[in-house]
Amino acid sequence: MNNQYKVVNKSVKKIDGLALACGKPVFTEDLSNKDFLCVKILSSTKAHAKIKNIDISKAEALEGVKCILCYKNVPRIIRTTAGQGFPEPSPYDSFMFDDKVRFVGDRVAAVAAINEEIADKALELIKVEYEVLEHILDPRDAMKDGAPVIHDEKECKVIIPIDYRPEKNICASVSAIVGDVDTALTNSDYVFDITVHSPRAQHCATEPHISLAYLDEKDRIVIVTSTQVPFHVRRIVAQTLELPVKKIRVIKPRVGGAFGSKQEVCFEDIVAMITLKTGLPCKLKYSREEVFVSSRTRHEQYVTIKAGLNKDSKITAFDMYVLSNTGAYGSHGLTVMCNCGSKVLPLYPTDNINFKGHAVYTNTPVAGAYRGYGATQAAFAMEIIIDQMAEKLGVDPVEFRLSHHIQEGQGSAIFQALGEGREGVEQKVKTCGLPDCIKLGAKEIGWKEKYYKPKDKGPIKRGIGIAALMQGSSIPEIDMASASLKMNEDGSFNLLVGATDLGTGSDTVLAQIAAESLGISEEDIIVYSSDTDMTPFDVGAYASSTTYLSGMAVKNAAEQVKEQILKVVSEMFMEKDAIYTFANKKVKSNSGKEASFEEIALRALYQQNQFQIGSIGSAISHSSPPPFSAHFVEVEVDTETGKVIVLKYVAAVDCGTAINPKLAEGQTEGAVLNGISYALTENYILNSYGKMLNPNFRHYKTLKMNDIKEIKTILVPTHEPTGPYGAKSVSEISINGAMPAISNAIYNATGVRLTDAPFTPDRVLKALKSKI
Amino acid sequence: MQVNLNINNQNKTIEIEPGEILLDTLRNSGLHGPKRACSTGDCGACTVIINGEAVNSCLIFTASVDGAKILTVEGLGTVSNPHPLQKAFVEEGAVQCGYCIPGMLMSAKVLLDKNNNPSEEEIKTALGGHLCRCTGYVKQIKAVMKAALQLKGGR
Amino acid sequence: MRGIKEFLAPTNIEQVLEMLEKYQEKAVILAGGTHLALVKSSSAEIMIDIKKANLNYIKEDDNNIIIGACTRPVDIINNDMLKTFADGILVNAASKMGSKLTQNLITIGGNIASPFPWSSLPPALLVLEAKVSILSKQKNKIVPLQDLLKANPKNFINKNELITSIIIPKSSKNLKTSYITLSLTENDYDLVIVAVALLLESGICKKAKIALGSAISPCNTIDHIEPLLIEKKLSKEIINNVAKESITGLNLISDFRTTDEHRFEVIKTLVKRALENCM
Repeated sequence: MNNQYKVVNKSVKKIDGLALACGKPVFTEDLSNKDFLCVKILSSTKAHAKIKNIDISKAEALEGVKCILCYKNVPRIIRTTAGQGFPEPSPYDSFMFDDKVRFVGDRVAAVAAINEEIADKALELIKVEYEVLEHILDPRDAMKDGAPVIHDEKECKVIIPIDYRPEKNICASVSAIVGDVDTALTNSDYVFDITVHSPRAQHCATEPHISLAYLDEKDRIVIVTSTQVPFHVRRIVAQTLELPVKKIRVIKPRVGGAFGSKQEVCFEDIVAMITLKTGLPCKLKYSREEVFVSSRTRHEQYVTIKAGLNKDSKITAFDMYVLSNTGAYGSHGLTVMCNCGSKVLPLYPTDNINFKGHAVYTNTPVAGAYRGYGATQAAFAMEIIIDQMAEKLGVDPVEFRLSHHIQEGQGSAIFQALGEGREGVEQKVKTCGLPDCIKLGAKEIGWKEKYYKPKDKGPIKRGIGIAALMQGSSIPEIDMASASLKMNEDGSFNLLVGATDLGTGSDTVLAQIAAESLGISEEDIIVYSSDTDMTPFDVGAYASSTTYLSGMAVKNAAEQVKEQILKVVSEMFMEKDAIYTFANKKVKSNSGKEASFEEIALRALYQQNQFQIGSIGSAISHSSPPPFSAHFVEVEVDTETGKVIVLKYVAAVDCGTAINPKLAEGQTEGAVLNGISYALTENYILNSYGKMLNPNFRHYKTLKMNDIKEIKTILVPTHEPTGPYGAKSVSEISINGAMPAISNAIYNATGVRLTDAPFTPDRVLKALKSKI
Repeated sequence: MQVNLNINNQNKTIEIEPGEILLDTLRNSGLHGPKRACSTGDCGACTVIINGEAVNSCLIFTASVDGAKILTVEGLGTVSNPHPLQKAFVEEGAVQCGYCIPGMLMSAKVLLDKNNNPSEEEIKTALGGHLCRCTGYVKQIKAVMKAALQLKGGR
Repeated sequence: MRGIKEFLAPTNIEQVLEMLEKYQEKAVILAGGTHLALVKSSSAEIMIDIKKANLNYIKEDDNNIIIGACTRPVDIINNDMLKTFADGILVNAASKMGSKLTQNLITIGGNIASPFPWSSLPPALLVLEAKVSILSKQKNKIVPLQDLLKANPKNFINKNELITSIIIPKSSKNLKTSYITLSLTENDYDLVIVAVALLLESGICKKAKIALGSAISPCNTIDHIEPLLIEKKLSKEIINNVAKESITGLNLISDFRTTDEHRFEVIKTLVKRALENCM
């Protein structure tokens, strides 16, 4: 642990923690009341159909119904719902309401009524005439000749140069070529080839999606919403309603988890439109079933990696192909797919790399952002291939990774080749704590003893596996964060940040960074975040950017404030060439003079040459320094039932400086469990018609407290020079380890390789039987 | 119809629909702790304590608990005077988004009321009805153990 | 639940039966409420809450243990007598139901009156040869649970009738039992449930009951393998054979939770393990 810092790298209490633990009314739903209209959405029962007609007259006539929206009475504006920077790399392929539906659960109409009962009755009174079309569910069918075209609307388009071919159901394609893979593979001593399948999954944030909207006293639309991206919401809602941005305010209160599912305009446009039309406040909250079906999911993917290896242990080439199922609409379709390559291929340097992929439309629930964002699905394939390479050479998988991973000072051609819709950014790895992550994690799990022990004789077999990982910290040259600081007369500060705390603790972490800079306690920083009227711009919580990028913006603001403070101090002390230090809420001169923050603030606000000590700091990044992690898992496989239990999971993480170690551990532990659950129990079960059969927690299983055995986190500190106080990101990387590490562990236990997740008992048993 | 409920030590007479669900009654009466997150009794975010037992308020008909003593997180402690469980959860980093916490605290309280020295396994079983997607449960187990120690040693 | 106009809370069984007689299909019975709470609206206008009608008890007389229909899993788990009755099989089954939260709400009567394939208690009750007491204002029926499940409780129990108790013969007290399940997670509905109860005298099996849950509909005993155990001394060979034969002729439920192939394998494994536990 770094002892040089006073506030940073300390596990201070989360500043909103006690209010949350006391049930204070801080979530979106708590901010509504009985006067808010209840908004409900009529969703499609068809996987693919034209709406020949919709009759809302009976529903409109129902007493208590205030507004009904459908394609007939809203502007036909094409946009993307993806919460990304403008110009968005996702296709513009969705309308507020369309006269076509593209998956079971697609929007058909919205009803606003004075209470839920009347809203439900109104939904039943809406008559929809569908002309059913052929549908496709499997991404492997999407590009075939004769496949039904899901986006045949004339308006759909991309606004940056992307390979967009909706007539072939191609939402995006990507291709990056380094060196000569074909020749390299031909000349390699060994060639490996694996295809893995990662399923669709749901984030299962405890708080369902919810938005409120009302008109303020100036008739501006105020949207209070559980979102990761308030500024993108404002822009996209303005675009959809054909209003200037200045007419809209978006506020994010406390959010009950998001994990990517709320990096989207799920229905803020609808509540905004309803409040505009009725003049009344309204509320829309998804039921759990609607969250499963109509919000967003992880991209189902088939990832194929071919790799070459020589007897001398040199990795000669990687050839990765990704088939990504983006569902009925293309939000995040290109960028998730690009991440498969950009966050996985650089980990093991080689001279020859092919990366290709297609993101395709199908008539299934819409895929969007989900923690890991493509790296999860691709690491699954990569970490199995690496294990296979080690096995081929008779080398310990831990040793193989230690001798092959990217080193400090190294770069990768992939960094430049793959950006987010545009060219990427060349960078060299400045900090890499992966060797220590691997060594410490291996020791903690007992690698040497367990990997080499003789196989268990009975039906219950134990095994052990490893996965090495990297991710990124923010999107270089594209994302921007800003923060404003102003000083109060008691020496405290208001810190206004656009950055979005989803429960992740960013309010706390950013307060710590500001406090460290200023030499005060984080308790003297009053944080207010995510309000498009009050807080300066931030792209929002995604791409693991908040600590790294928003943190730099906070630091920049603090540095500017310190300069202003010094200006006041120099007037107060009238010294020449003095050296000042900031500590303990004071400025001290090397002459011995000192002034408290309170004295400085009072002077600046009230007494002499008055001005408001305050500033706005902004930041963009020119690189995306990867955090690194090594995951180890010990599993127990019941070879007679197929059930797999995780006995112990160790995650060793290099996130640079952990600004708040307990919060960094918490992020890691949460991501790890989500990853284990994704590997073992979670699955969308769609019938042949595209209807989800298990849209509830009764049949979509996630792991609970009585399912876990032991999870251990080890933070490995490094000091990233481009990050605030040496920080990198931490929140996404640890969801990527479980699938490959568990697959590797099952192989170690039983000799059977699972490549199709989740590894449910029936799949494990089937694989075991086919091996015999 | 009317029901009499003792909520957080306050007697209330509330007008309800005969088929009304307790979670809705509680939230309509101004409480924010118990939350609707799944409606099928699978996540525990709506958990309250009724006559000493932790139950999913989304599965209970209000009329059937007429006369009952109900505790929600608001009755457990306040920001200025938090219960040791609430303090421990915050100190151990067991609160991330906080949406599941009010419900989980109810189960933790029932556990510690009955068993002042729970093992890790006993904590996992007692809190097994709660879905938390943020934390991986690791720090929540630690927090309950910490609170148990504090409560044993006198508040 | 919308549509309910009146909520009644009778305080004894006679009142309940009076109300059922009066209202019949106009009424819906509220026991635990874990299914009813999910119903958004109903054509029934009257809700009859039976939880205050003194139906939560675990009693014994000379011949039987009688468990009231509103007894909950938590009550079964905490009952000292049931902890040792037939190796505690009812406590094992009750512990698998729901979570610690819903174990305070679910009722044994509700679990039987509206059974799901994965209901936890029926397999344990079947191997104990439980009977069900069904009352109406006019009649008092006692029906073997097995017959009730076969006939489908929803069809068998009339609108003016109520399950009031489960009756378990005390002769089951010393049976050697085992209750094993397979589920994805601790709180998941089981994919397969096997319950076994054997009467062993000097290691010889005199009586055997093996019940299968979450695999066949309705939940039932696997009668065809019982003769393979009678008058035999349990051995690994015999157990393996019984396990192998257990799936012969079974009509599996088909659900999205696992494949038939898998269920067959798991049934064999769990039958084998349950019998081994009794050895």
